[in-house]
Amino acid sequence: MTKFLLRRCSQAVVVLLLVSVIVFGLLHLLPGGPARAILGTHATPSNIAAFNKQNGLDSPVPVQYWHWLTGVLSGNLGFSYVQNQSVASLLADRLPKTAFLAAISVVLALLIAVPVGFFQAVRRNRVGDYAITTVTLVLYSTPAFWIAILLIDVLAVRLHAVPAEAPQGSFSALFNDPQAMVLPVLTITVVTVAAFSRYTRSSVLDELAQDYVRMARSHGASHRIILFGHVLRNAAGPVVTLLGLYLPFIVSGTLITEFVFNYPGIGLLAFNAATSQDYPVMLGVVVVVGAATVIGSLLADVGHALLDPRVRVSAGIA
Amino acid sequence: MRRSLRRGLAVAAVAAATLVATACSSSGGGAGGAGHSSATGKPVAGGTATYAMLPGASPNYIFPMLTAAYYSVANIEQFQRLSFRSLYWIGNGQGQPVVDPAMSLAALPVYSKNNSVVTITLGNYKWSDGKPVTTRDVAFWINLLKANKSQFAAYIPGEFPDNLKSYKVVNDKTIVLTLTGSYNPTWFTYNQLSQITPLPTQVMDKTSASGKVGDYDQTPSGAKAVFNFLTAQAKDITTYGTNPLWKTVDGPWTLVNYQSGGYAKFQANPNYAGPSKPKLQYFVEQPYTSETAELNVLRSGSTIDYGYLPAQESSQASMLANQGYTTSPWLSWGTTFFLMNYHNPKTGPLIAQPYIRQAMQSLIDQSTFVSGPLKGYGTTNYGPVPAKPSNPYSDAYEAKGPWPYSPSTAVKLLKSHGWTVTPNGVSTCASPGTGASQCGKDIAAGTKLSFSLEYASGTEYVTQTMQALKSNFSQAGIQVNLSAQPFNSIISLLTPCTPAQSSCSWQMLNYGGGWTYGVNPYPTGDQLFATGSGSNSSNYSDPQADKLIQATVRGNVGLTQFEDYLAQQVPVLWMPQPDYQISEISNKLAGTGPQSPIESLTPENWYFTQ
Repeated sequence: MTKFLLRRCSQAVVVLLLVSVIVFGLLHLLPGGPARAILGTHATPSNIAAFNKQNGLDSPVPVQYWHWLTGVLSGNLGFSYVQNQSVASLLADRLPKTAFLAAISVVLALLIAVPVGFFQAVRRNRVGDYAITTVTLVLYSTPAFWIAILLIDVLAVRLHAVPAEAPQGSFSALFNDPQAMVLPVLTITVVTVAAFSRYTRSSVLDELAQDYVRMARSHGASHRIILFGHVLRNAAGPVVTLLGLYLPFIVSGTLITEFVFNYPGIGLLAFNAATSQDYPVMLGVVVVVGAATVIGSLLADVGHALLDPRVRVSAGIA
Repeated sequence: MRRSLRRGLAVAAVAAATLVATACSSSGGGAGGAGHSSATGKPVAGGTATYAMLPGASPNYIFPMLTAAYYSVANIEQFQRLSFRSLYWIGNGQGQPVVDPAMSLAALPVYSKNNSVVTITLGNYKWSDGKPVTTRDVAFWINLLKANKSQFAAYIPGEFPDNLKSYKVVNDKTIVLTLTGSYNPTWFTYNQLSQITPLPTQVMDKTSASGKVGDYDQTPSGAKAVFNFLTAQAKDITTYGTNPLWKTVDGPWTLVNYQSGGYAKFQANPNYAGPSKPKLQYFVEQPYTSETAELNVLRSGSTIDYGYLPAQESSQASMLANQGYTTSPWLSWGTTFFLMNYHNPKTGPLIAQPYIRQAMQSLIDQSTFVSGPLKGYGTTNYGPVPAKPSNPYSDAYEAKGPWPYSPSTAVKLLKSHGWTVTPNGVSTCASPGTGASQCGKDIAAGTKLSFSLEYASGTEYVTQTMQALKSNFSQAGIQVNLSAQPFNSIISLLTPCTPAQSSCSWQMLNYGGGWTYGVNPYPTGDQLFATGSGSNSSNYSDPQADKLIQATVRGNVGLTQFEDYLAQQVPVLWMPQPDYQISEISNKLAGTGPQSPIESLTPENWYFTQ
């Protein structure tokens, strides 16, 4: 297992380096440049030259990359003039908020989606299955922003049941105003339930068709034992993989929800950085999302291997 | 006039988007925008009013001597000046862009010796720690500026403090400035003195957090050290709500809480000595990263007391009225235009001909643009000095416009200068030469009247007007090849250039904005239209214009000749001036009007009603 982890981590480092090189290069190909974006429409050439010199932007791109990389390795992700804050502190402020939003939503979604998917698989091709399939397909194919707007219209505008805006301020504000978390959480949960329940249903159906299930039945095992003693564990594999791959979503995929609800998370940070050409923040977010993707993929592999001995054998982990 | 505020202009592009659409009110009004809600009840003391900030325009810098990266309306007019007042306050009770003596820290300055000596006398203002605001605090600002002028965003070579020969503190209330020459008193007061922001010497004249307060500012090296210290402190935004440096204020509000992203909570300063004491207990600035999010909150009828209606949601105005909001357009003190490159090797000779520029201006149907894409939330604009909000500078000639929409005038101008006009085709020069009835210098026979026009994409209003413009221009055979580019691509070209430079290849450029007169409210053209000035991105050069501009700065004449000449000459193509925003003000909130023409906030006048 140690060898497996080392190999995967090495791959992860290489992937992250490549991603950072590509993104750094692409950002510097964008027209305009950070100085003009930050200093505005009427900055004079001398203003721009002074800014570039002060921030090392007059150096060749490889030199700039090297400075940035050595900074990252020492924990310095750069400084955002747009936000007047270091990138590290921005990420430290926003990441927990997004993680909190996504974690609650995903846990809620799992609590709903797994039983629903199970129910559908067991009752496949019956009225209940068709009804739930219809609902989940509709939700799965509906854009998150549209669901968010519908929820706002009904629950906030018409019923005045909950606020239309997420809690503002520090991380603790999320706990001080739980009502304001309802709509952002609900939006992500609804979308995620639809996806997870579809996967769960498919996975359970696959397992129910396996020989070991017929064997267990022929040996007189009860339906409950078969489902929860055998099928559940095996069907969990693909779902765990999906969950691992959801980690980057947790970091960045909440963008739409954060945008609609003015939720001060990392998705919104990335969006604003992109629109204002805030290079340091964009690079910082890319590093974090890239790391989350690699770690998520790694966790998915490990989780799958732990659940399925066949994977351990084939990967040489055992 | 100086450089426009960065975010202000960025917002101008957004403003174009924000120029909304409800036909329920017009932006006519004389002042910066009525800004009055329908509040009629009995005043209630205290409470917290929440103001929604425009997307991308949240405050993030508290030290008033700010560097270029933080030079914005949101930082200066809507954040710093709540706590730190400038010597002269722009925006009077009628919403006009003029000095309001009652709101200013000092009495109107007295000019003497042929307008080369200025005597400033402070009023009875106090810092929040109870100490008086003195001329020492004014000198502190001047000393910091002199030692760090290249760092200050509003600094322009040759202007303040370069034009300050010396100063003398006469006593705690009076300071005398001796200038390097004679200056127009109005220009000097509005565009130089109004930027002076006295700072609390007793708190800020130090070089480290643990160091003692001293007179460090009185030597250049000490002043540099103080500036560096204060700048470093201003970059630590997590301490904005707690750092003692920012707690001693002479304005009506003290910042008590600031969050990353721009959330700011101010508490009323009980020692504020100005004419209008705060009635509210707290004032909150709430950042919104999208107009959608802000509108959703407005629609749900909660938390926002003073917000705005996004452009694309015009149909929501009546619903917001039902939710208890009053719609009020907020007029901006600025001028909108797009640029023509006088140094482009190919089209520069065409643009250099005033009659061609005048013909093009005659093909811009501003009234239709206002009633169409702007949905009524804008005003026609024919020169450097805006006709609205109402002001003492604009005159009838410019307001009416020497070149209003008239395709026949455009055709006539071209024909009379030797062009074969081909409506819906491309007109060509048939009579080359420099005679009065010929095409003009460096324009060969057969030259086509054709231009490329790059405009900023992503703003509905700009896109619509550019498409309409292409159609309008074709009436006189002026071909415009439109090209939408990202905003940042467009603004990257906004640099004066020479014909040989590759960066000079653009022909026409529209970034969807123009020029705002925020911190330099006297609308002279020294930075925008004077030959060689830093923000003269179109490379315009006209000796007569230079002479008239110089007269508004160094002479003692008004703006009439300057503005009329530029309106007549059309150095840029004048476009309608969009409103700054369409405000939505809670009917429970009173005292909000008039809205400031320079987009500053005065929540000390606001109060809730029963």
